[in-house]
Amino acid sequence: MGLFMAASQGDKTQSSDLRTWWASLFLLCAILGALFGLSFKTQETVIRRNLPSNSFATLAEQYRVLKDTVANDQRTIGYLQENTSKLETAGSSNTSQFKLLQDDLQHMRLLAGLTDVGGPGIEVVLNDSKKRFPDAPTAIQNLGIIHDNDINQCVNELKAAGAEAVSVNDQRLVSVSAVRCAGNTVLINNTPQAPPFIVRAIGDSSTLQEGLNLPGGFADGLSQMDPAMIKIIKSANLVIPAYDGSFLPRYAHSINATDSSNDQHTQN
Amino acid sequence: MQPIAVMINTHKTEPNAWLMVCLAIASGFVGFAIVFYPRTISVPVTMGPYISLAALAGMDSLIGGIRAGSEGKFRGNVFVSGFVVNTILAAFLAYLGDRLGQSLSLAAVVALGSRIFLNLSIIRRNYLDNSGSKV
Repeated sequence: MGLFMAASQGDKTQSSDLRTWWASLFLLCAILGALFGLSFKTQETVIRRNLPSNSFATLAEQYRVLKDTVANDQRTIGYLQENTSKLETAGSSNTSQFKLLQDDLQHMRLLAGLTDVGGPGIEVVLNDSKKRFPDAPTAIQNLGIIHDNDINQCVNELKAAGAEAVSVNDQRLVSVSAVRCAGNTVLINNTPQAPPFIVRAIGDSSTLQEGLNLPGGFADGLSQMDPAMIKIIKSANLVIPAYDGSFLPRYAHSINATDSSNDQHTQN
Repeated sequence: MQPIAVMINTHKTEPNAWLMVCLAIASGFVGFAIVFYPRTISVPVTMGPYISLAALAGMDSLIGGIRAGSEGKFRGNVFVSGFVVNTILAAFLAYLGDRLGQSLSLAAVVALGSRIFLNLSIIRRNYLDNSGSKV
């Protein structure tokens, strides 16, 4: 606004100067407006990013999971119906061959994690620490909380030590299983799980335990933060449930299949 | 002669002075809209504080210009150069402060904020003084 004066100081003899001043005023105002616009926008982004994770991110994740589940279930239904009709038409033509195939199938299902399994093994209970770490730098404020990384590391150690079947919170880990953080929860087989996480593994229980307790290994790291975060229990008889999700391969197909329909059976 | 002074001192306003004020404000809004609404224009979040500070400095310059006008001491080149230099300087100072690990942006915010308040109060006083003499 002050510009009015400047403009008129030059006086009416120089009306081109006047116009220049007005133009520069408008330009400055536009620049100022643009600066405000930019900072408004940036602040909006900041605010949106700081939304509590339990509302937006988790909902989005849940939505995605449910959508996937529905799509998967529909394909499973279609497959099962087709299968049933095939079996009905085939009948029991050759019982001994049928028996052989069924045994084979059972074996494959065991390997794929589609049957409940039992045996000796260990149970690892991972829980968030009740301790607070006020001295920790802000960058690792998440100290004392079990993350997907911890679970993955634990499962990895167990498998390396020869675990034959692993489950986390009764979710059987199979070839397509994933463990990852989504907001405040951890998704295991696309189902949200909260601490405590109970990892069960079937195998030689002392080997498994030693695998976890390696010096500088997984249990060591957690115990340094808080020994209460990890508890390892040997068990003579564990039961690990079957994988209850569905997975029909949409992209993968077997290459050297002489009988591709059989391959499909084992994969399901 | 000087629109603000004219508006304040006598009620004889130059006919297009208000129009110009409106146009100036409108151009501010246009600038805002041009940047704010297109989704393609965005700035890294880390740059946010610097731009906010630049906007604050721009506002300070504008209000300083109005104050100078209300005192009849306005000089256009001082105003324009002040606007440009202060805006860039404020952003640069904040950036430098972040680099140095000192919150120089705080200094800029305090200085600019207090100047805005001071200038606004002076403008208000000048306006009241002038209109008071009329009444």
